[in-house]
Amino acid sequence: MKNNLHLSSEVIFNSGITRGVIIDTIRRELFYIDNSFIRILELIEKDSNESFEKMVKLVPLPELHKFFDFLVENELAFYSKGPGEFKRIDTSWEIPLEVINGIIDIDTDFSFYEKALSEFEKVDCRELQIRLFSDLDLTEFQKLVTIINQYEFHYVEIHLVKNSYIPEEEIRRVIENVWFVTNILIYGSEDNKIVRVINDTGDYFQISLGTISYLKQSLKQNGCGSISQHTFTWSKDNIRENISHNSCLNGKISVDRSGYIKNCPSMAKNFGNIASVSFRDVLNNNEFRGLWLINKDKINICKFCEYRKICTDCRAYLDNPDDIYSKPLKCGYDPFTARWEDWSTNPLKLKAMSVYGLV
Amino acid sequence: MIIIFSHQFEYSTNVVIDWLKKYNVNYIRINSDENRYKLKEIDEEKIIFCDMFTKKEYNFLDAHSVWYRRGGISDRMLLGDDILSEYETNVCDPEVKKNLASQLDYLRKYIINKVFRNCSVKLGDPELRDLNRMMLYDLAKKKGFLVPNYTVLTHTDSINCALKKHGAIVSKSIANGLYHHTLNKRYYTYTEQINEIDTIDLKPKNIFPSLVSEKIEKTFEIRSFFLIKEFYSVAIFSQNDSQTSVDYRKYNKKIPNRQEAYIIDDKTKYNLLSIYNELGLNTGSADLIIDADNNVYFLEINPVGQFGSVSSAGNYKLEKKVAQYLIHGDFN
Repeated sequence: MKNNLHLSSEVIFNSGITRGVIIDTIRRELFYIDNSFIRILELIEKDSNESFEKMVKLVPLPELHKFFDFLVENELAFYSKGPGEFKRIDTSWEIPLEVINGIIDIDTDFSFYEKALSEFEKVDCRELQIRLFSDLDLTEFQKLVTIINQYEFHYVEIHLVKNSYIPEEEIRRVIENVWFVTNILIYGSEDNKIVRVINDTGDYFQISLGTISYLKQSLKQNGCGSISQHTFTWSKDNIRENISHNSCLNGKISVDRSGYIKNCPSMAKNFGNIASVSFRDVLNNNEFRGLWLINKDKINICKFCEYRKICTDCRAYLDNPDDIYSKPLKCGYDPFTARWEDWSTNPLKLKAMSVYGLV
Repeated sequence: MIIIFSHQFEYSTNVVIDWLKKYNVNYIRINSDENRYKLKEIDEEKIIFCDMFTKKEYNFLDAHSVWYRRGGISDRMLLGDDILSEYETNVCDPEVKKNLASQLDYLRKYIINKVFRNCSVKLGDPELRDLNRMMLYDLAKKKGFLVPNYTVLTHTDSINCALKKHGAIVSKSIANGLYHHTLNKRYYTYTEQINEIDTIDLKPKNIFPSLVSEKIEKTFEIRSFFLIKEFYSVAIFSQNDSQTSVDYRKYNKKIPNRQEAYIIDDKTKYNLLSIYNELGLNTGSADLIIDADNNVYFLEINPVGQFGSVSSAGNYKLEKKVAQYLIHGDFN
């Protein structure tokens, strides 16, 4: 080979039990390859010239050249050029924040709402999801918004059940007036549609302030945790995070509808009620933080899956409810056959579904 | 204590401050577009500003470390709201106004200069917030770089001469480019190629002095962030896409240009270091081009350029490195 072949910094690859995948993080494309080529990619990553002999031993030369051409055509790799050096980037992940996001569930008891917001602020959590399970009237809704407006979050999404008391103008006004309230989702709507909220200053170039999403599905406690190709992440930062951490729970604190502090509101285990326990105490609890470190390499089945670096996770609904390292229940992908099927009709999942009240 | 001069919504500053918070270090962030701090008193030993939110007073000379990211000290910080409005409404004579403005400028310079001299750790330089592009071309050439040949046009006739002389030419702004919003328009100056066809309908006349430079056919371009002694670089493959081949900031969102972690060669490193040394700058962002024959061309250095995209493209964690430098004066 005349020049060294380099993998793009924007490309990540992964082997699975039946096939490998190349992930183009920026252009959001997946390329499926035989696992023998994953070994080739590892060798290219080291040094394509020095490892060339080894590659030829693994894959016949014409196929190897075809593979190189395929990489170059799709700009997944390129031959070195220029006087400097291209380097493979470090995949470590580190951020200055301890808490990344939070969830507050509220049904009919609003008493802990303010306390929860102030706890989230104390631990410098910037992103928040608030799920309101009961029918709110307009005054109640406005009161919740007025309270949150006294805090400084960076991103808040509010999940509501469809009701007739809160008109769309009011919801729009919240997105316009509270800069960090960005997306409001309304469940149980007639149709699935997304309404964009843009600023209305007459500016030729409009700035998007957020969205109102109408969803046909109903807002249910156990409605979360579904895994599909639509929930894959493409952000390099998230992928790096996923390699070493749990792709749902890392950096997350939740408060369930009774005020109990949990990793996720859908999980059974709680770490005390917010009335008497602070987030700081919970963050110092090894059991609470231990779940943040369950990456896909530790999860049964997932550890064999080619999608494990880009996939989300769920530790609340499991194939085996008694095994925290069990595969997410609501995943229909089988890495052993490389097929997606509807998880909810899989007879093997029936028992777990009944445990979680999903049947 | 660390003092940071910046703007209110400056992203890299936000992330650096997140790291400072994680390390439990005291800092003051002065946003020139915000009126949080107000000057109270200055003498030989102290420069006291009051935090208008907390009413706490800070002696800026207690800082051991300072970062000039952007901005500076606004009139409002020196005057406060009451005097500022009096100054703006009551002072009508243009000469008096000019004189008072100059008094404020001197005061501003004194404060920033004294804070910088007083600190043992400094990053960036308020005196060098923007560099003169054409002077920088000459300096880069002196330091061993290839620089695109340039011409300043003052008459339409010279456009074709420049085309003949340089082959292909692109427009460049002499000072900083325009970045301006009105109610229904946004103005940005991009680098544009100028072709013979653009000149056909031009009547001969004098024009505003306009800089054009030889268009270098690039293999790729480099954005290199310099922090103290190290260079953190990204190669941008913008040449294959007609939308981005002249100015990569015209981003192609459908098929984004590849950005690759890159280590600049030793000669380029040496040349850049000697430019930074001559300018007395310890940070900045340089733009370079590699042509088909592997020649390195110098385009510019922006002392206050954005480095967030370089940091994330190369996973360099530059914001963390900046925070560590501000705290310790090194990276350990």
